[in-house]
Amino acid sequence: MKKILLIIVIGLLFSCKKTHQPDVLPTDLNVKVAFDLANSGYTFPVLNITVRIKSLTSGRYLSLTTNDKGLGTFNDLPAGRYDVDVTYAISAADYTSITGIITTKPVVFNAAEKNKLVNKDNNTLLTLNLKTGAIGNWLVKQVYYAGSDRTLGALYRDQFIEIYNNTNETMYADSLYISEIWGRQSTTNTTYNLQANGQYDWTKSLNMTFANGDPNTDFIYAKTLCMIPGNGTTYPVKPGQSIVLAQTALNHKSPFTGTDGVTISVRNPELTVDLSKADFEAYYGSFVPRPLDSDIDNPLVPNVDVLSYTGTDMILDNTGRTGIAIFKVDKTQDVKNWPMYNEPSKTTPSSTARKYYQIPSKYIIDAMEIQPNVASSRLPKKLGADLDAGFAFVPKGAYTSQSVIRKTEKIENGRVILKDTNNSTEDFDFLDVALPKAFK
Amino acid sequence: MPASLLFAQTNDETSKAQSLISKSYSVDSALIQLYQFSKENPLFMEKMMQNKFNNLTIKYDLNKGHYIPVQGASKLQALTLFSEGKTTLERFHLYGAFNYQRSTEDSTRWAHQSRFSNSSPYYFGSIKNNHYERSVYKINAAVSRTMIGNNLPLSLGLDYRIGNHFSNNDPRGDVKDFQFNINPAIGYHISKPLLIGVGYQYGYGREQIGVGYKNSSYIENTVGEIFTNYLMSGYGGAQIVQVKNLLRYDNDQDRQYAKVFVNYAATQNDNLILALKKGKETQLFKRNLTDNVGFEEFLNYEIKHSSADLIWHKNTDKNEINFSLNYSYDAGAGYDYGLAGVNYINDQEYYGLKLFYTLKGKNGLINNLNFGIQHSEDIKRDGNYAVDISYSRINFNAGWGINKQLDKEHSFGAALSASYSLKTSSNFYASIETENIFYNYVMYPDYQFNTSNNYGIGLTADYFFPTYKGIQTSIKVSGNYIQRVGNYIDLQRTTFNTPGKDRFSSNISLNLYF
Repeated sequence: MKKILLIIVIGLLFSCKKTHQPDVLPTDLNVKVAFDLANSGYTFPVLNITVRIKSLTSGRYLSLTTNDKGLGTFNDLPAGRYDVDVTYAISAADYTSITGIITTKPVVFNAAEKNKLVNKDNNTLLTLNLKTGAIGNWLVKQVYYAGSDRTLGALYRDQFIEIYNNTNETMYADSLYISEIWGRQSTTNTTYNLQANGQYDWTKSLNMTFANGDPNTDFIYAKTLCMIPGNGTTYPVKPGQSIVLAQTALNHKSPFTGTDGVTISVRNPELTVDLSKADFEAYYGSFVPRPLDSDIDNPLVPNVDVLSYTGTDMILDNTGRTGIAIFKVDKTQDVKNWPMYNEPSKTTPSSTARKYYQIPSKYIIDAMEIQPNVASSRLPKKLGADLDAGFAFVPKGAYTSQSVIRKTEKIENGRVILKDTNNSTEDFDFLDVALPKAFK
Repeated sequence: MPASLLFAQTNDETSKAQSLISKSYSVDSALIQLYQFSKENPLFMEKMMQNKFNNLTIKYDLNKGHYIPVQGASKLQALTLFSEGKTTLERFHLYGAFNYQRSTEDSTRWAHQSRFSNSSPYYFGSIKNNHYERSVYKINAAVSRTMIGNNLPLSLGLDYRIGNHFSNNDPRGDVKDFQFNINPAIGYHISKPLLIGVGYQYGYGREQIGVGYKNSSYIENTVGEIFTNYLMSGYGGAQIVQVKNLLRYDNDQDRQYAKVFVNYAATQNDNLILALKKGKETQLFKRNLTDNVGFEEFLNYEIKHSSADLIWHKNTDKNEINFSLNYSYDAGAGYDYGLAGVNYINDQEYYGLKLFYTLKGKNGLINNLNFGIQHSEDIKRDGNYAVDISYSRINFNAGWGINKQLDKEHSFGAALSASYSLKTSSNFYASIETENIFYNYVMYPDYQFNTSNNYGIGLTADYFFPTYKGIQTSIKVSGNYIQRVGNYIDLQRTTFNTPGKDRFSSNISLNLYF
């Protein structure tokens, strides 16, 4: 009996175990890089162009270089979402040689596909069309949208935008338009018509016209639109200098008395900024029935003209669902009377529903997009690769005193030249505590 | 002599005698093996579990040291209150046990779990160590009786467990669990010495897991990486899940096993037992939708279990022997609903032998000897990340203990044990291209720990003395020390949380046998 039982046990030892393998496998991502040159009649070589992907799960980057057909494969990727970016610079000599267009600077092309889902059901060839955009003279240099600590700092009233003269000539800020861009702000709201990329499908907006271009690709939409006043030569900005547009041009480190007569103290001045010497201020008190109590007009700081606004002050979205675009127009354009459209809701919007200025991309001098710091909270991009192939963000998120700031590319004869590849992921860094006129 | 006093004296003598019998379990290591087997398989309760065995234990445990798996705790303290008893009521054999344990873990990492099912592939975790507090209650009850004369034994076992676990620093976990198992069995004597039995185990349970923050700035901050909350699914990925309303999920468990028993009793004190068990447990990780119309499923983890135990137990006046061969195999497979396929594999195989020998001396000296060899293998695979990791090891352990009867029903015991654990094979594949924070903080150090060799030594001392009405009471102290031998494997990768050199564990208990 003992032998029988022993044989049973030994038999079990060798009968139970089997080799198991998962049936999920990693996925390949095939990419193709091409130049979006429309009917130009020339083309550029697509060999050895670097394509970079970033896993939104791990934050890890991988890159490859394309073959002579512009093709490449990322092998064995874990399923998930990825940001795919290409930034490619053609030297001035090559560009001139191929196109016949004389240029003295390298020409930068960008392409991007953000939040790309990669899995076994979604592994078709991803084509990345490289586009070039205007390489800046005016640049968005710093955006302080996060605000500072809710109890120790200045909340969001210390926000500002800084614009920089990146040329070697004096330029005039007069009639420079500054816009906070608008688009889809929530991924859970299903009441709007959407493009395949998840962004609003503006072609479905009420009374949209198509005569001047594709509403989705040839225009951006403005939540806030301001203009620097002046007669054309009122506000010169020297090379390497900048202008700061403050929400409220106060020294936020010091106590102040609001329009309601209440004095507010800042418990930790180190967390906020002194904007009393800002170059411009967005003062809403003259046209908003009930402006923010902290929206105090500093008579020493000129106010910008506000063409479009929301809320009770120029409050930037402090979670990062925003972006800034700057542009200028010639005298043929009457920006104030440019068309405005409702969001493309599935149902007909009411007559009082908010409308947004439609800004032609061709006038944009510089634009940069901002996204939330938490990857899972990010939204479909509002700006195409011709304006901004990437996005910037402050890593600590809202109310943390951090700002996004454009990187220094080089210094020539004491003049700081900022980086501008039309890809904010590459061009921007952050400051732990925002500081107007600072460099990084 | 008044009758009441006589009765009291008789009672005292009875309880004293009973107390000594109960105590014998704690000093006879061969006997306790059979007792433990009977607790898990109540079909054998009548034959192999001493009647009227009762004890009450209060125990304090302290474990400290960094030679631990990544998801362990570098310091653990536990206070346990345990009581069990066996009695008969007419033809019914009854067993009951109650166990309450309150423990604190100073540095739990990468695992907001109940620790009930360690191979589960879906859990929250963070770089930041958590201080965990756990309270676990367990109740066990069993009944058995023979239905026809001394034949047709029938048994029923019930186990219930409820646990509450929480950490009091960010990101703070809140874990609740319960388990219930019912375990009926029936046997039949084909002949006088040969008993055949079958059993069935059905169980279900649930873990409810949530993680939150008290300091809201940690939610918004992706720079303070140590506070970031990650969701692990499988054995490769760590996804940041850090929003205000964190995902809470349930792990619903369901298990069914079939059991077969064969008992050949050459004599009443010479038994050969074969116990086979086969079945599976499923764990469904899901979130109940807030509108109560259904739930969202994330992962279905299935563990197929097979085990076999062959035990030979012989008891004579002079000695007692318990020899067992053990085999178990758990094949875990996790179906990931997001990936639409089986992504995670965890196979665990174990086989070994154990020998317990008790020599009963005439002068009140009992010698306990034990020896064991076990081989274990663990395989982890993650399809999505193409991770394939395995290791096997062989453990040797031996021990010697004595118990010396002193005057006036006092006795003294001491035991010494030693172990050596040797890695026998290992395989590691995880692409550097897909390396992420889970690799650096969990996978690499886990592999280092599981492929390291170690030795351990243990020392136990206990002292028995009679107390109220002759109840045998003991104070028991034990300490164990385990130390790594040699260096950890150098994976040539960035590795954090590399395990330490050693670990010390100790406990002190007060035990009453009545």
